[in-house]
Amino acid sequence: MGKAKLTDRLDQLYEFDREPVHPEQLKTPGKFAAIFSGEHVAATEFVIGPMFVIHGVAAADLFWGLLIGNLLAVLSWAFIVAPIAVRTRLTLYWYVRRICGPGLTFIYNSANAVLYCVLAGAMISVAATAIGLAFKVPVPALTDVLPSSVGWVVLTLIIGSVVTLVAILGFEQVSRFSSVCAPWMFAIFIAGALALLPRLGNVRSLSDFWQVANQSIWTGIPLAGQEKYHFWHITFFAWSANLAMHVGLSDMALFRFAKNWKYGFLSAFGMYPGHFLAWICSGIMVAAAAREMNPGGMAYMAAGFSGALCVVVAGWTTANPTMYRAGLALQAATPNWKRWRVTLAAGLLTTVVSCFPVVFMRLMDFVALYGLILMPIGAVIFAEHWLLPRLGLLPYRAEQQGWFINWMALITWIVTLIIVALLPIHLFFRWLPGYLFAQALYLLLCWLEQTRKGKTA
Amino acid sequence: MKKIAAVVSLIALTAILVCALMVFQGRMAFGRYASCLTVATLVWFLSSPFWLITPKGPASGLRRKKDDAADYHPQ
Repeated sequence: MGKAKLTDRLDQLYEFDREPVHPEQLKTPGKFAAIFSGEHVAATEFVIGPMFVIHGVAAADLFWGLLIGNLLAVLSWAFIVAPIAVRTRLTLYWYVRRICGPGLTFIYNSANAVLYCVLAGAMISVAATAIGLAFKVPVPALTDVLPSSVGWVVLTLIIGSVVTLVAILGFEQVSRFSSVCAPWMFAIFIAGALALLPRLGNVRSLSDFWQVANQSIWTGIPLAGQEKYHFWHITFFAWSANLAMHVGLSDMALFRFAKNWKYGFLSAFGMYPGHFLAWICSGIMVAAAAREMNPGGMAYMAAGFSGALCVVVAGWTTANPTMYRAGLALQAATPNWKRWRVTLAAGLLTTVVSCFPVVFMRLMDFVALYGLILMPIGAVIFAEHWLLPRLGLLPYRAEQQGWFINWMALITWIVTLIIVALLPIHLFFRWLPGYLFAQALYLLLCWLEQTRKGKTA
Repeated sequence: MKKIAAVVSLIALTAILVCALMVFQGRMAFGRYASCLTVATLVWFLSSPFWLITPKGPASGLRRKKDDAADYHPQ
């Protein structure tokens, strides 16, 4: 097959990225449930659940924090991102272009794509810890920053290549992949925790479990050198673990395919199995594994070969949609590039990033930072879409005036990031005051700009 | 064919959970449990694509009809 023919075939994979989604392209609820369940029962769950144990979370703090934090996340999907997505039928990236101008869109999309690539890289790194165990390839310790061996680099390069290939094939293929894997992965998480629970204590009833949970798993005592987390840490982390997707509006890329905004509640299919049960299960596993952070080894100990395979598959099913989003982000920044080419570029960057174990070693901090960095633009879009018209101010000034950069949005983004960096509170809590500040600042700047020019649209 | 595949894959999924439950209750050795999980995993990945993956994806046949989309007004 010639290169030209191959290129033509790849070009035919064009999806409705640059135009509003057509009615016949709308997806059914089952597809959203499959995407969410596949995306949020992920390799990172093998890291985040154990992190709570290592940070000395008490059992009651964990359960209540996860219940409430995940509920807040589901409500954020339903009431913030889904309504805007079904009204516009656009990806966030093209909507940002309309509101912020092409110059700022380029900056935003480039930042977004890089962050997505790092996240996808973390998924691949975690997956590689499992394959490394199976094939006797030395796996880096969780304290390592740089690649520890040639075998590790080769492993991550191979996994990254496969993930990139699947992401290039498009949305449908990603959805198919996750729909097959998600139920099995969830079963492995439950099975691994159940099988290891007897090693932590004699559990015959729910009250027995609660006793073992408090005495042997979530003891409330952090490992030496680790910060202690409380109820509010858990609540805010669970709420903001996908901040860029809901409050940051990235999931417009998915919800533009929804028939109505209520599909936002389907995010619960990702949150409660993934960010509640899977985190609890992996916490049980790491407690049984003497609190040693080694995702692949821990899963292998809990479920044998299937456990190690689960880490790999979980990494793939999360890395794929993340890379899909990165492709969308880069495509908006490089309008003359075909979809497959930008996804390939994102895949190459992701694969290189995945070689460095630091991306999953500091995963919780990265997850918090990643949402924090993108959050101000979500606040700007929300204010532009809902608040400006209600305050009698003109929306979409950048598009109407032909601005290359919406300076008000850029100033809001930069000033908000400076403010949240200076806030004397824990990293997990900073986004909420920052989000409210960003909306207020943007509205003030729009009011000043429009009153100064007498609303000469 | 799809129905058979669905039943087989759901049995595999149930087997994973039942085996774990038996280990939890002390009625199965860990080595046997791990072997059972490997077999059940193999069965799941061989059977589930037949009913979870269709030529047009999981939502095949459920796509919105054009008539239903008449009230759709992109903004």
